[in-house]
Amino acid sequence: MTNLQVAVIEWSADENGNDLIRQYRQLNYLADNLYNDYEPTKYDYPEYKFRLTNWLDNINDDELKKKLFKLAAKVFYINQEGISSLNRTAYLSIIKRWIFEESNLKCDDPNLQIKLEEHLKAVWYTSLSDSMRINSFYKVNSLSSSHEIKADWRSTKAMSNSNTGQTHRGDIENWRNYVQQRKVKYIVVLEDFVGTGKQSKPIIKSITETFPENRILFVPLLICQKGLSELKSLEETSLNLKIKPVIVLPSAAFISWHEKNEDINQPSEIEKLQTELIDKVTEGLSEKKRNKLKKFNLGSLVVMYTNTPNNTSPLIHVNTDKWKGLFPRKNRSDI
Amino acid sequence: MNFHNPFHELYLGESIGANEFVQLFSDVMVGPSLALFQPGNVVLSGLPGSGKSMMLNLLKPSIRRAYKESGINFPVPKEYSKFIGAGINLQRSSIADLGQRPIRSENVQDELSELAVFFGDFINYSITRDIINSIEELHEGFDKEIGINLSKENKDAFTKVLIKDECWFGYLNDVKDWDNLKHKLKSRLQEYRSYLNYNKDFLDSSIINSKTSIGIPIIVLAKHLRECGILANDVKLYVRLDQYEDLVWLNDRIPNLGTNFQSIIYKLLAIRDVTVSYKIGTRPFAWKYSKQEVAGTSAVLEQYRNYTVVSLEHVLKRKENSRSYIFPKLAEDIFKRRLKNKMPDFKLPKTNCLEYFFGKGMDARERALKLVKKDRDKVVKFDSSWPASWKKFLLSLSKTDPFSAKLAEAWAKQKGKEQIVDSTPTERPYPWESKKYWVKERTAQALIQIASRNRQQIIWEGVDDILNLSSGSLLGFLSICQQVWEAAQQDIQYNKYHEKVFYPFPAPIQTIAILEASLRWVEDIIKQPGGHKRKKFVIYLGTYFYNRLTSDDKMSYPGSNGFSLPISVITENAEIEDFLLDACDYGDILTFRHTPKNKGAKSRQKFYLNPIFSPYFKIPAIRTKEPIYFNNIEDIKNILFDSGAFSDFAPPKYVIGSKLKTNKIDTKNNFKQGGQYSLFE
Repeated sequence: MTNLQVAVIEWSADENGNDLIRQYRQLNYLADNLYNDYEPTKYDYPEYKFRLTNWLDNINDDELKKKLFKLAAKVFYINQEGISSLNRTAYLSIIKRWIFEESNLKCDDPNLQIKLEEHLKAVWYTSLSDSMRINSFYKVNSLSSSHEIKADWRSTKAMSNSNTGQTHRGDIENWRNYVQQRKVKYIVVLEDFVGTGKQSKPIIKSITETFPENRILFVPLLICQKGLSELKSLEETSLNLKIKPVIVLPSAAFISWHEKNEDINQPSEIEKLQTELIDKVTEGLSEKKRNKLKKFNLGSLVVMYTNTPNNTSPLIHVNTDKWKGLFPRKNRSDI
Repeated sequence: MNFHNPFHELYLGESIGANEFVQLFSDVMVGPSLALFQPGNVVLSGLPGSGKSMMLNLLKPSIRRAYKESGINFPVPKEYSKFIGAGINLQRSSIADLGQRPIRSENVQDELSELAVFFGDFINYSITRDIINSIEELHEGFDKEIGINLSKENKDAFTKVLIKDECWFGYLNDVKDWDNLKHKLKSRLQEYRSYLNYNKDFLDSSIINSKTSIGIPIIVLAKHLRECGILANDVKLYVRLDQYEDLVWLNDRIPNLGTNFQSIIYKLLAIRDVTVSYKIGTRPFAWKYSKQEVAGTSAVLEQYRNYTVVSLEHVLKRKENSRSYIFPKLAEDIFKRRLKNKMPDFKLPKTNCLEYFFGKGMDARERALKLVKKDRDKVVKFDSSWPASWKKFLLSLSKTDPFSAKLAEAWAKQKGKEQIVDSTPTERPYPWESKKYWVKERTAQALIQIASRNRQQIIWEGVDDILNLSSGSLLGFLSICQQVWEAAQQDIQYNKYHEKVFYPFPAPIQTIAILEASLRWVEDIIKQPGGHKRKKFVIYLGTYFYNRLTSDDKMSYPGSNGFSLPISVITENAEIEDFLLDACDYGDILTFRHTPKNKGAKSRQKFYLNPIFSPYFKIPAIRTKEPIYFNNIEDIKNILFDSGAFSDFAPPKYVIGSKLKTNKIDTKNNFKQGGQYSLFE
């Protein structure tokens, strides 16, 4: 087993080696103060510091280990507090503003506040999938709701499509009736993370088609540029849809990001590391799983306290007998 | 696992209670600082964490009482312990709030002068009140030991004469008795605080019309305390003024406010009354950079005449004569006291506590073997002219004793010793090994070269390393201890297979802790005023030393971790002198008098980086052999400019010879004045 302290001392002899001691200090701090709320490992797994040692021990080569250690510091971790802030920003800065624009209210209207409140009552907040915790969204924004149904469209769609592969007309009618009875004008669809957009696109599309009379806003809390481009094409064809993410992930949150001293015409150092290690990481996985990993891997470095998205580099989240993950991902199919 | 870090809190001076103080205070410093407990004004100067406040705390009655109650001997020698201590902490007394609200004047200059008078008045009343409180606190239990008689008659007689004195300008006229006097003193201070906190619209006119003259009421008080028999004639009155540097920082808020307040303190010292002595705690730079003009006059304070300076840095610095070097003893004592206090259940060894926890430290040979486990042939660099037999010898020696092999390489490359390559020695000790001083001077450099050639980190461990790295700085020592405990804790968390800490702490734990402490010290340079420039200078210098030490294969210049300059060169340029002295005052570099190797040469001063920076730069912490000789101002100037430390100064013009030295360089003002000559043209 790697004695991390010994390893860091050795690595620190390199040029700019003092940075690694800084990083070691930083990871110690983050382990105690930030990473400890990662839910998938909260009970059954050892704590972060121990996982980090195990993760480095996935490989024997010292140079690769050092690179892996550097990668650990690049993880873009969003803790519970961070998600709450994203939820607050989604409501206060995006949804409210959108309602204001959609409702054609005027800033100088003396009754603006009352009217805006009326419009806000006609909003139905839903989630795209079960990974978006819509209840938390209600709580942190102090929203009360008359909607006992807080739809999770992914599950809804899956249920409707079951067996026949065709959407039941009856189901659609039920939803439409619900929306009519509750006098819903606006449907807000929230999602915590959108990577390629391949999973969310068909769901969003079917929502816009099911409710052609309603105004629909899709708010991903975090989205990759690739996913945003994919979904924007939908926005152009669906007249009742708007897409407004809270954060579009910056390029520094991806393994393709180049450090100052790196040649930008070459793949970045961590990208090379991923290429070098990917076979080892996916060793023993079925062909199907390997392909899936490949398909979704955008090389993002995002980890959320609830789970690691499958668009994040597999180096970080894959957890098998052969590769111990740093932030093991809980897959839906495992549950 | 419960593994408490006894060094979690670095600074204790201000925060601990009297009972804890008694357990934690080390009396090692009392001897060298005896002036504090003798009549006469003393400026106790020291960097943060050097123990100033701890020393001044000994003057507090609560501490004295705590010693008595705990049965531990009061650390001040008996012959000096007949004193009453009182005082004021300039940071905590809310005195700095003066100035955040104008009192009367509309004219700024008058306002500052008048504020300074109010400042003096506030000090007078605070100290008067504190002296009375101290006497009350000490009279029971110390009446005989010190010489206090607080009988009712004495109190009455004292109050009667005190309040009549002119120095109070009638403010105490209506005081009836001792208790009433205490109340009146307290209420005046409260009045000030209420006004400064905007709780009142006006400062009471009875205060405005009875401002006292700095120091005078205290002399009057002392005189009457003695005359009325409350204090015996030989009882000394010592008044603490701690955190003096806060006054300097007031200037940042309101220009010249701090300077005006400082001049009031100088006036206090200039009175030179034998009945009361002032003991001022300050950081070195704060005392140095003031002109020390006494308020209301053009006189300036004079060291030795008005006060003496006790510099804790100086006391703790390693001198040529190692017997007078008290730091190791102090470190051991403080270390032991901390552990006893924070780990009461731990059975400490009676002696050599530091060694028990940190170990003796490996010798150079062992270190070299630990440094390079494989590829030991990289330890030596061949000269192309060397015969094969010598090369073969070096290679084989490097396998078993890389340290000796490195020395052999240097030996063969040095002038006059080259012939060794033709007659490879066969018996130990080899010629280079038997030259004790030659080896001693080169040990650190050899290890650095071995580490560098094998891309290994230097090992830092053992008592000697830790004491050398903290070299006279208590804060440095404590921060290393803090990091070692921290690293041991981390080690347990990363490696769950062991749950126990082993002593001495393993070398890797000590090394990473020391690297970490070093890193923090380098990063923290910028936290002090002017730190950005000094950090650039330190980083440049550290890298420069490293490159010189590692590229000198012959090891002819093992002292390249410091530089020396003729004093005449330093003083020829006020700006450079100020910069270097400033860096010394903030503890970033250390300076020593340098006796040059050639007799009759100019007197010199040598400069080294604070040894705690050494791990960061991978350079030796100890100072051996001759440092790098700089002879011209250009040498140091180039470093200052190349490092970027001076680049900000480049455009403004300074006036040469206008005695910039006494003032801190004020780029803005100099710019405004537009001087006559550029300093660096």
